[in-house]
This record gives sequence, structure tokens and C-alpha cells, in this order.
Amino acid sequence: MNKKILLPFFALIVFFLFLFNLLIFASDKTDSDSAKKETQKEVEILKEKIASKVAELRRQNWQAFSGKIVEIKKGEIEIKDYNEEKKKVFIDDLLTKYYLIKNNQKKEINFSDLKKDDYIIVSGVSTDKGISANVIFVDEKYLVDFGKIVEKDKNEYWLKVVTLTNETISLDIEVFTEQWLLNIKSLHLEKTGFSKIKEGDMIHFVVKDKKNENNRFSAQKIVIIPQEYFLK
Amino acid sequence: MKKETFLSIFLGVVFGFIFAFIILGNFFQSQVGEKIKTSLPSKKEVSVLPLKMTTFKSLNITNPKNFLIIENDKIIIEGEGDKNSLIVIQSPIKELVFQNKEEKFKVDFPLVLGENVIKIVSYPQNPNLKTQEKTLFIYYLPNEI
Repeated sequence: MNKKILLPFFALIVFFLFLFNLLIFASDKTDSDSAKKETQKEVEILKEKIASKVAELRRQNWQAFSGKIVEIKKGEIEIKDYNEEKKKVFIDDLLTKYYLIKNNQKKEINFSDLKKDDYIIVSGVSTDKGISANVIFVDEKYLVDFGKIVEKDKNEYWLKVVTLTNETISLDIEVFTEQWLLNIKSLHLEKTGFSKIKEGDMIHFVVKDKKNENNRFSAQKIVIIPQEYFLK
Repeated sequence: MKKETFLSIFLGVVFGFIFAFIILGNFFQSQVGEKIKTSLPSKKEVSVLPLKMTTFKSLNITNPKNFLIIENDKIIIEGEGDKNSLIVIQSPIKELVFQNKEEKFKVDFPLVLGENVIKIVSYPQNPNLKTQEKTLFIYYLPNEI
């Protein structure tokens, strides 16, 4: 072969090899870029999944407990719940926040504002030893119950009620008491007055868990189910 | 009249009487039998009716779970109870009374900030059945979860 032909021929081969190499490199880079993007996307999805799982677990463990304060110590509060069971609430000086709930609003207070017999809601994580409190709310305790009216005092406007658990509760019907009566035909609640309440009727009531000066509960709301409903 | 003629008339009359007695006897017998039948108390047919089992559905609240912290100011109460029972749901801010036409019920219920004590009572339509009740403690604490 002629030397004049051989040199350009080799140069052409080298050029093609270079071009081929460049193409392979470029394709590799595109592949690795898309793979990187894919991996990043998978990582993001995984992150989201982990975050939602953590939130779900947090939600599951995030519980509220309520009860009356029995004792306040440093870093610890003892409460008695609705079952009369005592529970320990652990306080963190830096983390735990305190609020007072009044008229559907919350106001920040301090640990020193808490006192014995306060009704509190503790939001936090439950452990074997007690509850690690994140937030403590001082709230008002309400009793919601029902029973049969066994006595009616027309002079002093009070009712004696026997509940399903055979507990006797005396209710004062106050000026502010919301009084509702079930219309046994339409099954609608209608505003009513003390005179329409009869012994033998069923009563559903809401009271604040604190007796008044007459040693009776002041009814906030009552719903009367007339005895005639059960005779239909 | 010939002797044979007289005999045949006589026998005809006798047989006619016998025949008439037999027919009349049968007729009276059948009439008296029917009278006796109608005067007797008819035998009652024994009907075998399938026994209707009265199943009593106890009150059960399927949603929400007790002691739940919620970030919304309302919840959906779902449950099941005896058909046609009177359901009373009461809390310090709301009272609902309705007849449980189907076994399952689902109602919207508002919440106040803090603790919400919700009492759910079911009065069965049959007064001989026991009244049932459930109490829910739901905490509406926004920004706490």
C-alpha cells in the first residue's frame, strides 16, 4: 500500500475510534444521569413513606389523658382519672408547655399556676411509668349522664335523678339551664320549662363537676324524654 | 180381574213402598249427618309457622376511638345498635336525638377546644330490653399532634 494512502487511512481510523469512544462516553453519562435521577426519586418516595409512617406512629402513640391533680412535685404531677386511677405525669422544664382553656380559647400559663384539684388534660407519650407531658391544659370538667326523675321539687326547682348505675344525683334547674323536651311524635327537641317535667321522665343532663352552695349540681343542659314515649 | 193381575199389582205396590222407604231413609240419613257435622266444632288445622328469632343488637361505637386527639373541631360518630331504638347523643355543646331506622348510624358532631365528653345512649324499641350507653372522651387539641 502506498504511504500517502496509509497515513490518511490510519488518521481516519483514529478519528472514528475517537468519535466512537466519545459516543460511548456520552451515552454512559446520559444513562448514569437518568439512573441518578431515578435513584433520587426513589429516595424521595422512601423519605416520604418513612415520614408518613413516623407521623402515623406518632399519632398512634400521641394520647391525651385527663384527671384531677392530686399532688404536685418537682418534675412530676399525680392525677386521678375518671376511673379513680392514679397516674404519674412527668414534666420537662424545657419542653412542657402549659395552657388554660376558657371559652373555647387557650391562654399560655406557667407551671406555678397549676394547683391541687385542677382538672388537666395531658398530651404526650405514655410509658410504663407514666406520661411524658408535652403540653398540659387546665380545663373545666363536665359530667354528662342520664337517669330517671324520681323526685321533683316545685318550690326550689330541683330534681332528684337515679342514674343507670343507681347513683342518686340532685340537679338544680337554674335560670341559665337549657331545657329541651322530646316531642314524641316528631322526635324533635323543643324548648321547655320546669313545669312540663314530670316524675318518671328520663333526663339527660350536663353539669359542671362542682356542687353548688345547696350541695346540688347546677344543670347546664337537660334533655327530657317523656315517659309517654316508652308507653307507645 | 184375574188372580195373576191382582198379584202383580200387589207385588208392584209392595216393592214400590220398599223402594220408596230405602230412598227416603238414605235422604234423611245424609241430611242428619250434615247437621251433626256442622254442629260439631271444626277440627283446627295445626299450622307450623317458622319461629321468628328476635336478635338484639348491642350498642357499639365504631368511630371514633376513645381518648383520641383530633385536630378538627368536628367528628363523625359511627356506630350500630338495635333497629328502631332511640339514640340520644349529648355533650356539653350539642344534643342529638334520632330513631335508629337501620342498625348502623353515622352523624356529624361538633367539638369544643379541650376535652369533649360525649354520652351515647340507646333506648331499644322493646321496653323489656335494657338501655345501653357508651361514653367517649375526645380531645380537640389543634397543633398538638
